[in-house]
Amino acid sequence: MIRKFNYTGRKKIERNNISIRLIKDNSPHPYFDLKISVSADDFPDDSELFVEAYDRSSFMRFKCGTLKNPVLPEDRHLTAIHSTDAILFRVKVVDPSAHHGRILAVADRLTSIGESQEDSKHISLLPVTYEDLDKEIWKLDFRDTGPVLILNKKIESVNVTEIVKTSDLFFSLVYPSVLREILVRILVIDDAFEEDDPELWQNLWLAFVENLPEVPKITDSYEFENFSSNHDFFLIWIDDDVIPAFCKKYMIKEKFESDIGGV
Amino acid sequence: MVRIREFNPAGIEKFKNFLIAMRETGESETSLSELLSDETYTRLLPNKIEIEPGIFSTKYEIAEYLHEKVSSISPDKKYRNVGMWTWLAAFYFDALCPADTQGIRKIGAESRYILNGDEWDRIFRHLLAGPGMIYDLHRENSIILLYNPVDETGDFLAQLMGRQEIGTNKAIIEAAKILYWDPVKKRPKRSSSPQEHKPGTLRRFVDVLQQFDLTYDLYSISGEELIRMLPVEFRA
Repeated sequence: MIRKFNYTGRKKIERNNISIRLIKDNSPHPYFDLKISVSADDFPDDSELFVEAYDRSSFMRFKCGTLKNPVLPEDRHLTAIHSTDAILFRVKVVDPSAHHGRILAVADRLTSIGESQEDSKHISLLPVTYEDLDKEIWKLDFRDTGPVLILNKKIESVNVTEIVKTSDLFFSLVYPSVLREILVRILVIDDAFEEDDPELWQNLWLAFVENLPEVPKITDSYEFENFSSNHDFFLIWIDDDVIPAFCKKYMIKEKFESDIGGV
Repeated sequence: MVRIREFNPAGIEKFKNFLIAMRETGESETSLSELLSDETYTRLLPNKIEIEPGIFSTKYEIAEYLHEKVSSISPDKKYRNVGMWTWLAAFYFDALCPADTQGIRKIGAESRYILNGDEWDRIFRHLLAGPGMIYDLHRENSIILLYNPVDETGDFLAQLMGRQEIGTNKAIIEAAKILYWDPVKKRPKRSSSPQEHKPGTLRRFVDVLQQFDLTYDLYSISGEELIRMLPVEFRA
Protein backbone atom coordinates (compact mmCIF):
# COMPACT_ATOMS: atom_id res chain seq x y z
CA MET A 1 0.00 0.00 0.00
CA ILE A 2 1.35 3.37 -1.02
CA ARG A 3 -0.33 6.07 1.01
CA LYS A 4 -0.63 9.55 -0.37
CA PHE A 5 0.34 12.42 1.86
CA ASN A 6 -0.48 16.08 1.61
CA TYR A 7 3.13 17.22 2.06
CA THR A 8 2.59 20.78 0.90
CA GLY A 9 -0.36 21.64 3.10
CA ARG A 10 -2.68 22.00 0.16
CA LYS A 11 -5.98 23.46 1.35
CA LYS A 12 -9.42 22.11 0.83
CA ILE A 13 -12.05 24.37 -0.69
CA GLU A 14 -15.35 23.62 1.01
CA ARG A 15 -18.15 22.61 -1.32
CA ASN A 16 -20.39 25.18 0.30
CA ASN A 17 -18.12 27.92 -1.01
CA ILE A 18 -18.50 26.95 -4.63
CA SER A 19 -21.54 26.99 -6.84
CA ILE A 20 -21.41 25.70 -10.40
CA ARG A 21 -24.45 25.94 -12.61
CA LEU A 22 -24.92 24.38 -16.02
CA ILE A 23 -26.83 26.59 -18.41
CA LYS A 24 -28.33 25.65 -21.76
CA ASP A 25 -28.58 28.15 -24.59
CA ASN A 26 -28.87 27.82 -28.35
CA SER A 27 -25.62 25.91 -28.56
CA PRO A 28 -25.78 22.11 -28.60
CA HIS A 29 -23.50 22.17 -25.55
CA PRO A 30 -24.29 23.74 -22.17
CA TYR A 31 -21.95 26.20 -20.53
CA PHE A 32 -21.12 26.63 -16.87
CA ASP A 33 -21.28 29.50 -14.47
CA LEU A 34 -19.14 29.66 -11.37
CA LYS A 35 -19.54 31.43 -8.07
CA ILE A 36 -16.77 31.05 -5.57
CA SER A 37 -16.49 32.58 -2.14
CA VAL A 38 -13.05 31.79 -0.81
CA SER A 39 -11.07 34.44 0.98
CA ALA A 40 -8.19 35.48 -1.26
CA ASP A 41 -6.34 36.80 1.80
CA ASP A 42 -5.05 33.32 2.61
CA PHE A 43 -3.35 32.98 -0.77
CA PRO A 44 -0.74 34.87 -2.79
CA ASP A 45 -2.24 37.75 -4.79
CA ASP A 46 -1.52 36.18 -8.14
CA SER A 47 -2.96 32.76 -7.28
CA GLU A 48 -4.60 31.48 -10.44
CA LEU A 49 -8.03 29.95 -10.58
CA PHE A 50 -8.84 27.02 -12.87
CA VAL A 51 -12.03 25.11 -13.48
CA GLU A 52 -11.77 21.64 -14.95
CA ALA A 53 -14.82 19.85 -16.29
CA TYR A 54 -14.65 16.13 -16.84
CA ASP A 55 -16.57 12.95 -17.25
CA ARG A 56 -15.38 9.40 -17.71
CA SER A 57 -13.86 10.01 -21.10
CA SER A 58 -13.38 13.71 -21.67
CA PHE A 59 -11.80 16.72 -20.06
CA MET A 60 -11.83 20.49 -20.49
CA ARG A 61 -9.93 23.14 -18.60
CA PHE A 62 -10.73 26.82 -18.19
CA LYS A 63 -8.45 29.52 -16.83
CA CYS A 64 -10.65 31.79 -14.75
CA GLY A 65 -8.37 34.68 -13.77
CA THR A 66 -7.04 34.86 -10.26
CA LEU A 67 -8.66 34.01 -6.98
CA LYS A 68 -8.53 37.68 -6.06
CA ASN A 69 -10.08 38.72 -9.33
CA PRO A 70 -11.94 35.83 -10.95
CA VAL A 71 -12.64 36.38 -14.64
CA LEU A 72 -14.54 33.65 -16.38
CA PRO A 73 -13.60 33.08 -20.02
CA GLU A 74 -16.21 34.29 -22.49
CA ASP A 75 -16.76 30.88 -24.05
CA ARG A 76 -17.46 28.32 -21.35
CA HIS A 77 -19.39 25.87 -23.48
CA LEU A 78 -18.49 22.28 -22.70
CA THR A 79 -17.92 21.38 -26.32
CA ALA A 80 -15.59 18.46 -25.69
CA ILE A 81 -17.49 16.89 -22.82
CA HIS A 82 -19.51 13.96 -23.94
CA SER A 83 -21.97 13.27 -21.19
CA THR A 84 -23.26 16.32 -19.41
CA ASP A 85 -25.41 14.00 -17.27
CA ALA A 86 -22.35 12.65 -15.49
CA ILE A 87 -20.19 15.74 -15.61
CA LEU A 88 -18.01 16.63 -12.65
CA PHE A 89 -15.97 19.74 -11.92
CA ARG A 90 -12.69 20.41 -10.20
CA VAL A 91 -11.73 23.89 -9.00
CA LYS A 92 -8.05 24.56 -8.41
CA VAL A 93 -6.14 27.46 -6.95
CA VAL A 94 -2.62 27.34 -8.33
CA ASP A 95 0.55 29.18 -7.39
CA PRO A 96 2.12 30.34 -10.67
CA SER A 97 5.22 31.92 -9.17
CA ALA A 98 7.38 30.45 -6.42
CA HIS A 99 6.63 26.81 -7.16
CA HIS A 100 5.38 26.69 -10.67
CA GLY A 101 2.11 24.84 -10.88
CA ARG A 102 1.84 24.06 -7.18
CA ILE A 103 -1.73 23.45 -6.09
CA LEU A 104 -2.65 25.70 -3.17
CA ALA A 105 -6.24 24.58 -2.80
CA VAL A 106 -8.63 22.28 -4.55
CA ALA A 107 -12.22 21.07 -4.59
CA ASP A 108 -12.94 17.99 -6.65
CA ARG A 109 -15.91 15.88 -7.74
CA LEU A 110 -18.21 18.88 -7.77
CA THR A 111 -21.54 18.46 -9.44
CA SER A 112 -23.46 21.28 -11.02
CA ILE A 113 -26.53 22.71 -9.41
CA GLY A 114 -29.69 20.96 -10.46
CA GLU A 115 -33.26 21.54 -9.38
CA SER A 116 -32.23 22.59 -5.91
CA GLN A 117 -29.12 24.03 -4.39
CA GLU A 118 -28.64 20.89 -2.37
CA ASP A 119 -28.04 18.84 -5.47
CA SER A 120 -24.56 20.24 -5.81
CA LYS A 121 -23.55 19.08 -2.35
CA HIS A 122 -24.93 15.62 -2.48
CA ILE A 123 -22.47 12.81 -3.03
CA SER A 124 -23.89 9.43 -3.87
CA LEU A 125 -21.85 6.65 -2.31
CA LEU A 126 -22.89 4.13 -4.91
CA PRO A 127 -24.18 5.51 -8.20
CA VAL A 128 -26.05 3.01 -10.37
CA THR A 129 -25.69 2.82 -14.15
CA TYR A 130 -27.06 0.48 -16.79
CA GLU A 131 -24.90 -1.13 -19.46
CA ASP A 132 -24.82 -4.16 -21.70
CA LEU A 133 -23.20 -6.81 -19.46
CA ASP A 134 -23.99 -9.69 -21.79
CA LYS A 135 -24.64 -12.67 -19.47
CA GLU A 136 -23.86 -10.94 -16.18
CA ILE A 137 -26.56 -9.39 -14.02
CA TRP A 138 -24.48 -6.84 -12.16
CA LYS A 139 -20.94 -5.86 -11.46
CA LEU A 140 -18.98 -3.19 -9.68
CA ASP A 141 -16.75 -0.85 -11.61
CA PHE A 142 -14.12 1.06 -9.68
CA ARG A 143 -13.64 4.47 -11.21
CA ASP A 144 -11.56 7.44 -10.16
CA THR A 145 -14.64 8.89 -8.51
CA GLY A 146 -15.48 5.67 -6.65
CA PRO A 147 -17.37 2.43 -7.17
CA VAL A 148 -20.33 2.32 -9.51
CA LEU A 149 -22.91 -0.46 -9.51
CA ILE A 150 -23.60 -1.50 -13.09
CA LEU A 151 -26.76 -3.40 -13.96
CA ASN A 152 -27.32 -5.22 -17.20
CA LYS A 153 -29.63 -3.03 -19.28
CA LYS A 154 -30.21 -5.90 -21.69
CA ILE A 155 -32.29 -7.91 -19.23
CA GLU A 156 -35.64 -7.66 -20.91
CA SER A 157 -37.92 -9.89 -18.86
CA VAL A 158 -37.88 -7.63 -15.80
CA ASN A 159 -37.63 -3.92 -15.11
CA VAL A 160 -34.07 -3.70 -13.81
CA THR A 161 -34.37 -0.06 -12.81
CA GLU A 162 -37.36 -0.87 -10.64
CA ILE A 163 -35.72 -3.95 -9.12
CA VAL A 164 -32.73 -1.93 -7.93
CA LYS A 165 -35.04 0.55 -6.22
CA THR A 166 -37.60 -1.78 -4.70
CA SER A 167 -36.59 -5.45 -4.64
CA ASP A 168 -35.74 -6.75 -1.17
CA LEU A 169 -34.44 -9.91 -2.76
CA PHE A 170 -32.01 -7.97 -4.93
CA PHE A 171 -30.92 -5.82 -2.00
CA SER A 172 -30.35 -8.79 0.29
CA LEU A 173 -28.37 -10.80 -2.24
CA VAL A 174 -26.35 -8.05 -3.87
CA TYR A 175 -25.55 -5.30 -1.42
CA PRO A 176 -23.62 -7.28 1.23
CA SER A 177 -21.39 -8.58 -1.57
CA VAL A 178 -21.04 -5.09 -2.98
CA LEU A 179 -19.96 -3.77 0.40
CA ARG A 180 -17.46 -6.58 0.90
CA GLU A 181 -15.95 -6.03 -2.55
CA ILE A 182 -15.61 -2.29 -1.99
CA LEU A 183 -13.90 -2.69 1.37
CA VAL A 184 -11.53 -5.35 0.06
CA ARG A 185 -10.68 -3.01 -2.78
CA ILE A 186 -9.95 -0.12 -0.42
CA LEU A 187 -8.09 -1.98 2.29
CA VAL A 188 -6.41 -4.87 0.50
CA ILE A 189 -6.14 -4.40 -3.26
CA ASP A 190 -5.71 -0.70 -3.97
CA ASP A 191 -2.37 0.96 -3.68
CA ALA A 192 -3.08 4.53 -2.66
CA PHE A 193 -5.49 6.98 -1.18
CA GLU A 194 -5.20 10.17 0.73
CA GLU A 195 -6.39 9.73 4.28
CA ASP A 196 -6.86 13.38 5.18
CA ASP A 197 -9.35 14.11 2.42
CA PRO A 198 -12.77 13.36 3.93
CA GLU A 199 -14.51 13.66 0.57
CA LEU A 200 -12.41 11.02 -1.13
CA TRP A 201 -14.58 8.00 -1.93
CA GLN A 202 -12.44 5.62 0.12
CA ASN A 203 -12.81 7.80 3.20
CA LEU A 204 -16.54 8.24 2.63
CA TRP A 205 -17.01 4.46 2.54
CA LEU A 206 -14.88 3.90 5.62
CA ALA A 207 -16.84 6.59 7.44
CA PHE A 208 -20.08 4.92 6.38
CA VAL A 209 -19.13 1.49 7.75
CA GLU A 210 -17.54 2.87 10.89
CA ASN A 211 -20.88 4.50 11.66
CA LEU A 212 -22.70 1.17 11.54
CA PRO A 213 -23.72 0.04 15.04
CA GLU A 214 -21.10 -2.02 16.87
CA VAL A 215 -18.43 -1.73 14.20
CA PRO A 216 -15.01 -1.12 15.78
CA LYS A 217 -13.32 1.95 14.34
CA ILE A 218 -10.17 1.04 12.47
CA THR A 219 -9.07 4.26 10.85
CA ASP A 220 -7.22 5.37 13.97
CA SER A 221 -5.85 1.91 14.74
CA TYR A 222 -2.26 0.72 14.67
CA GLU A 223 -3.15 -1.68 11.87
CA PHE A 224 -4.44 1.17 9.72
CA GLU A 225 -1.15 3.01 10.20
CA ASN A 226 0.63 -0.09 8.91
CA PHE A 227 -1.61 -0.85 6.02
CA SER A 228 0.25 -3.21 3.77
CA SER A 229 1.23 -5.72 6.44
CA ASN A 230 -2.25 -6.07 7.89
CA HIS A 231 -4.41 -7.43 5.09
CA ASP A 232 -5.56 -10.36 7.22
CA PHE A 233 -6.64 -8.00 9.97
CA PHE A 234 -8.79 -6.03 7.54
CA LEU A 235 -10.32 -9.15 5.98
CA ILE A 236 -11.34 -10.39 9.43
CA TRP A 237 -12.73 -6.96 10.32
CA ILE A 238 -14.78 -6.92 7.11
CA ASP A 239 -16.13 -10.46 7.56
CA ASP A 240 -16.66 -10.52 11.31
CA ASP A 241 -17.66 -6.95 12.09
CA VAL A 242 -18.73 -4.89 9.09
CA ILE A 243 -20.82 -7.29 7.02
CA PRO A 244 -22.75 -8.71 10.02
CA ALA A 245 -23.43 -5.15 11.24
CA PHE A 246 -24.59 -4.09 7.79
CA CYS A 247 -26.86 -7.14 7.51
CA LYS A 248 -28.27 -6.47 10.95
CA LYS A 249 -28.96 -2.80 10.36
CA TYR A 250 -30.57 -3.36 6.97
CA MET A 251 -32.37 -6.57 8.05
CA ILE A 252 -30.90 -8.52 5.16
CA LYS A 253 -32.13 -11.93 6.33
CA GLU A 254 -35.63 -10.63 6.95
CA LYS A 255 -35.69 -8.92 3.57
CA PHE A 256 -34.61 -12.13 1.86
CA GLU A 257 -37.14 -14.30 3.73
CA SER A 258 -39.96 -11.90 3.12
CA ASP A 259 -39.25 -11.58 -0.60
CA ILE A 260 -38.39 -15.20 -1.33
CA GLY A 261 -41.54 -16.24 0.53
CA GLY A 262 -43.57 -14.54 -2.12
CA VAL A 263 -41.82 -16.33 -5.00
CA MET B 1 -12.68 3.93 -51.58
CA VAL B 2 -15.55 2.93 -49.34
CA ARG B 3 -17.93 5.30 -47.59
CA ILE B 4 -18.03 4.82 -43.81
CA ARG B 5 -21.18 3.27 -42.41
CA GLU B 6 -22.38 2.53 -38.92
CA PHE B 7 -23.94 -0.62 -37.52
CA ASN B 8 -27.41 -0.43 -36.04
CA PRO B 9 -28.02 -2.48 -32.83
CA ALA B 10 -28.93 -5.56 -34.89
CA GLY B 11 -25.72 -5.13 -36.87
CA ILE B 12 -23.66 -4.93 -33.70
CA GLU B 13 -25.37 -8.10 -32.46
CA LYS B 14 -24.64 -9.80 -35.77
CA PHE B 15 -20.97 -8.83 -35.56
CA LYS B 16 -20.88 -9.99 -31.94
CA ASN B 17 -22.20 -13.40 -33.02
CA PHE B 18 -19.62 -13.47 -35.80
CA LEU B 19 -16.88 -12.98 -33.20
CA ILE B 20 -18.31 -15.70 -30.95
CA ALA B 21 -18.51 -18.17 -33.82
CA MET B 22 -14.97 -17.34 -34.94
CA ARG B 23 -13.70 -17.78 -31.41
CA GLU B 24 -15.46 -21.09 -30.85
CA THR B 25 -15.19 -22.75 -34.25
CA GLY B 26 -12.78 -20.67 -36.30
CA GLU B 27 -15.47 -19.91 -38.86
CA SER B 28 -18.78 -18.12 -39.20
CA GLU B 29 -21.77 -18.29 -41.49
CA THR B 30 -21.79 -14.52 -41.59
CA SER B 31 -19.84 -12.97 -44.43
CA LEU B 32 -18.18 -9.84 -43.10
CA SER B 33 -17.89 -8.27 -46.52
CA GLU B 34 -21.65 -8.65 -47.03
CA LEU B 35 -22.50 -7.54 -43.49
CA LEU B 36 -20.48 -4.34 -43.93
CA SER B 37 -22.82 -3.03 -46.61
CA ASP B 38 -26.04 -4.80 -45.67
CA GLU B 39 -28.76 -2.13 -45.39
CA THR B 40 -30.58 -4.25 -42.80
CA TYR B 41 -27.69 -3.93 -40.39
CA THR B 42 -25.88 -0.76 -41.40
CA ARG B 43 -26.51 2.72 -42.66
CA LEU B 44 -24.34 5.33 -44.29
CA LEU B 45 -22.90 7.88 -41.92
CA PRO B 46 -24.35 11.35 -42.61
CA ASN B 47 -20.81 12.72 -42.83
CA LYS B 48 -19.54 11.68 -46.23
CA ILE B 49 -16.28 10.06 -45.16
CA GLU B 50 -14.45 7.66 -47.39
CA ILE B 51 -11.81 5.19 -46.33
CA GLU B 52 -9.82 2.48 -47.97
CA PRO B 53 -8.46 -0.82 -46.82
CA GLY B 54 -4.80 -0.51 -46.00
CA ILE B 55 -1.86 -2.13 -44.36
CA PHE B 56 -1.00 -0.44 -41.10
CA SER B 57 2.04 -1.67 -39.29
CA THR B 58 1.36 0.19 -36.03
CA LYS B 59 -1.52 1.57 -34.00
CA TYR B 60 -0.04 4.99 -34.60
CA GLU B 61 -0.38 4.68 -38.37
CA ILE B 62 -4.01 3.62 -38.31
CA ALA B 63 -4.85 6.18 -35.61
CA GLU B 64 -3.29 8.99 -37.63
CA TYR B 65 -5.17 7.84 -40.73
CA LEU B 66 -8.57 7.48 -39.06
CA HIS B 67 -8.15 10.65 -37.01
CA GLU B 68 -7.90 12.66 -40.19
CA LYS B 69 -10.88 10.82 -41.66
CA VAL B 70 -13.24 11.46 -38.74
CA SER B 71 -12.11 15.05 -38.19
CA SER B 72 -15.41 16.41 -39.55
CA ILE B 73 -17.39 14.77 -36.73
CA SER B 74 -17.99 16.99 -33.70
CA PRO B 75 -15.43 16.55 -30.88
CA ASP B 76 -17.93 15.26 -28.33
CA LYS B 77 -19.19 12.50 -30.63
CA LYS B 78 -16.14 11.56 -32.68
CA TYR B 79 -14.86 8.69 -30.58
CA ARG B 80 -18.14 7.60 -29.08
CA ASN B 81 -20.16 6.48 -32.03
CA VAL B 82 -20.53 2.83 -31.08
CA GLY B 83 -22.05 1.81 -34.40
CA MET B 84 -19.36 3.53 -36.46
CA TRP B 85 -16.33 2.28 -34.53
CA THR B 86 -17.70 -1.24 -34.40
CA TRP B 87 -18.31 -1.09 -38.15
CA LEU B 88 -14.75 0.18 -38.64
CA ALA B 89 -13.45 -2.74 -36.57
CA ALA B 90 -15.32 -5.10 -38.87
CA PHE B 91 -13.99 -3.25 -41.92
CA TYR B 92 -10.39 -3.53 -40.70
CA PHE B 93 -10.88 -6.95 -39.17
CA ASP B 94 -7.92 -8.45 -41.04
CA ALA B 95 -5.64 -5.88 -39.44
CA LEU B 96 -7.17 -6.13 -35.97
CA CYS B 97 -7.28 -9.89 -35.94
CA PRO B 98 -4.76 -11.20 -38.44
CA ALA B 99 -4.69 -14.84 -39.38
CA ASP B 100 -1.51 -16.74 -38.54
CA THR B 101 0.42 -18.83 -41.04
CA GLN B 102 -2.13 -21.62 -40.65
CA GLY B 103 -5.02 -19.28 -41.22
CA ILE B 104 -6.11 -19.27 -37.58
CA ARG B 105 -7.30 -16.03 -36.02
CA LYS B 106 -7.02 -15.44 -32.30
CA ILE B 107 -10.15 -13.55 -31.35
CA GLY B 108 -9.56 -11.25 -28.39
CA ALA B 109 -11.99 -9.76 -25.89
CA GLU B 110 -15.16 -8.38 -27.40
CA SER B 111 -14.35 -4.85 -26.19
CA ARG B 112 -11.39 -4.80 -28.60
CA TYR B 113 -13.78 -4.80 -31.56
CA ILE B 114 -17.14 -3.65 -30.24
CA LEU B 115 -17.10 -0.24 -28.66
CA ASN B 116 -19.08 -0.78 -25.49
CA GLY B 117 -19.93 2.41 -23.67
CA ASP B 118 -18.55 5.87 -23.80
CA GLU B 119 -16.29 5.81 -20.81
CA TRP B 120 -12.58 6.37 -20.78
CA ASP B 121 -11.41 2.85 -20.07
CA ARG B 122 -13.97 1.36 -22.45
CA ILE B 123 -12.92 3.54 -25.37
CA PHE B 124 -9.24 2.92 -25.06
CA ARG B 125 -9.73 -0.84 -24.97
CA HIS B 126 -11.17 -0.64 -28.48
CA LEU B 127 -8.47 -1.32 -31.05
CA LEU B 128 -9.44 1.61 -33.27
CA ALA B 129 -11.40 4.17 -31.22
CA GLY B 130 -8.81 3.96 -28.44
CA PRO B 131 -5.78 4.76 -30.59
CA GLY B 132 -7.83 7.36 -32.46
CA MET B 133 -8.75 9.19 -29.28
CA ILE B 134 -5.19 8.94 -27.96
CA TYR B 135 -3.80 10.38 -31.20
CA ASP B 136 -6.41 13.13 -31.05
CA LEU B 137 -5.19 14.08 -27.57
CA HIS B 138 -1.45 13.70 -27.92
CA ARG B 139 -0.64 13.81 -31.66
CA GLU B 140 3.03 12.96 -32.33
CA ASN B 141 3.74 12.26 -28.66
CA SER B 142 1.24 9.40 -28.82
CA ILE B 143 3.89 7.30 -30.58
CA ILE B 144 5.10 6.14 -27.15
CA LEU B 145 1.63 4.64 -26.60
CA LEU B 146 0.85 3.48 -30.12
CA TYR B 147 4.14 2.17 -31.47
CA ASN B 148 3.19 -1.50 -31.57
CA PRO B 149 1.11 -3.57 -34.00
CA VAL B 150 -2.57 -2.77 -34.32
CA ASP B 151 -3.68 -5.99 -32.63
CA GLU B 152 -1.39 -5.69 -29.59
CA THR B 153 -1.78 -3.73 -26.36
CA GLY B 154 1.51 -2.38 -25.11
CA ASP B 155 2.56 -1.82 -21.53
CA PHE B 156 2.89 1.94 -21.99
CA LEU B 157 -0.68 2.12 -23.21
CA ALA B 158 -1.96 0.04 -20.30
CA GLN B 159 0.01 1.88 -17.61
CA LEU B 160 -0.46 5.45 -18.80
CA MET B 161 -3.95 5.40 -20.28
CA GLY B 162 -5.57 3.38 -17.51
CA ARG B 163 -5.96 6.47 -15.37
CA GLN B 164 -7.82 9.33 -16.93
CA GLU B 165 -5.96 12.11 -15.13
CA ILE B 166 -2.70 10.76 -16.53
CA GLY B 167 -3.98 9.75 -19.95
CA THR B 168 -5.51 13.14 -20.72
CA ASN B 169 -2.46 15.12 -19.63
CA LYS B 170 -0.34 16.31 -22.54
CA ALA B 171 2.69 17.12 -20.37
CA ILE B 172 2.80 13.62 -18.92
CA ILE B 173 2.68 11.87 -22.27
CA GLU B 174 5.25 14.32 -23.67
CA ALA B 175 7.51 13.59 -20.69
CA ALA B 176 7.03 9.83 -21.13
CA LYS B 177 8.10 10.14 -24.75
CA ILE B 178 11.18 12.19 -23.84
CA LEU B 179 12.14 9.74 -21.11
CA TYR B 180 11.43 6.42 -22.74
CA TRP B 181 11.25 6.70 -26.52
CA ASP B 182 14.20 5.56 -28.61
CA PRO B 183 13.92 7.60 -31.84
CA VAL B 184 16.51 5.50 -33.64
CA LYS B 185 14.98 2.12 -32.97
CA LYS B 186 11.49 3.58 -33.07
CA ARG B 187 10.39 1.78 -29.96
CA PRO B 188 10.56 2.36 -26.19
CA LYS B 189 14.04 2.15 -24.72
CA ARG B 190 15.15 -1.26 -23.58
CA SER B 191 14.15 -2.23 -20.05
CA SER B 192 12.06 0.92 -19.64
CA SER B 193 8.92 -0.94 -18.53
CA PRO B 194 9.71 -3.98 -16.42
CA GLN B 195 6.95 -5.42 -14.24
CA GLU B 196 8.77 -4.28 -11.11
CA HIS B 197 8.74 -0.70 -9.88
CA LYS B 198 12.47 -0.25 -10.50
CA PRO B 199 14.01 3.24 -10.20
CA GLY B 200 13.43 5.40 -13.24
CA THR B 201 11.15 2.94 -15.04
CA LEU B 202 7.60 3.33 -16.27
CA ARG B 203 5.85 2.00 -13.18
CA ARG B 204 7.91 4.25 -10.92
CA PHE B 205 7.03 7.15 -13.24
CA VAL B 206 3.34 6.42 -12.65
CA ASP B 207 3.90 6.13 -8.88
CA VAL B 208 5.60 9.52 -8.80
CA LEU B 209 2.93 11.11 -10.99
CA GLN B 210 0.22 9.98 -8.61
CA GLN B 211 1.99 11.74 -5.77
CA PHE B 212 2.69 14.83 -7.93
CA ASP B 213 -0.97 14.98 -8.91
CA LEU B 214 -1.81 15.92 -5.34
CA THR B 215 0.79 18.64 -5.18
CA TYR B 216 1.18 20.14 -8.64
CA ASP B 217 -1.22 21.33 -11.26
CA LEU B 218 0.21 19.06 -13.92
CA TYR B 219 -1.94 20.61 -16.63
CA SER B 220 -0.14 23.94 -16.34
CA ILE B 221 3.36 22.67 -17.02
CA SER B 222 5.18 21.29 -20.03
CA GLY B 223 6.71 17.87 -20.44
CA GLU B 224 10.21 19.36 -20.10
CA GLU B 225 9.22 21.07 -16.84
CA LEU B 226 7.73 17.88 -15.52
CA ILE B 227 10.96 16.02 -16.22
CA ARG B 228 12.93 18.65 -14.30
CA MET B 229 10.67 18.05 -11.30
CA LEU B 230 11.23 14.28 -11.28
CA PRO B 231 13.55 12.66 -8.74
CA VAL B 232 17.14 11.97 -9.71
CA GLU B 233 16.38 8.33 -10.54
CA PHE B 234 14.87 9.55 -13.84
CA ARG B 235 18.04 11.31 -14.96
CA ALA B 236 20.08 8.28 -15.96
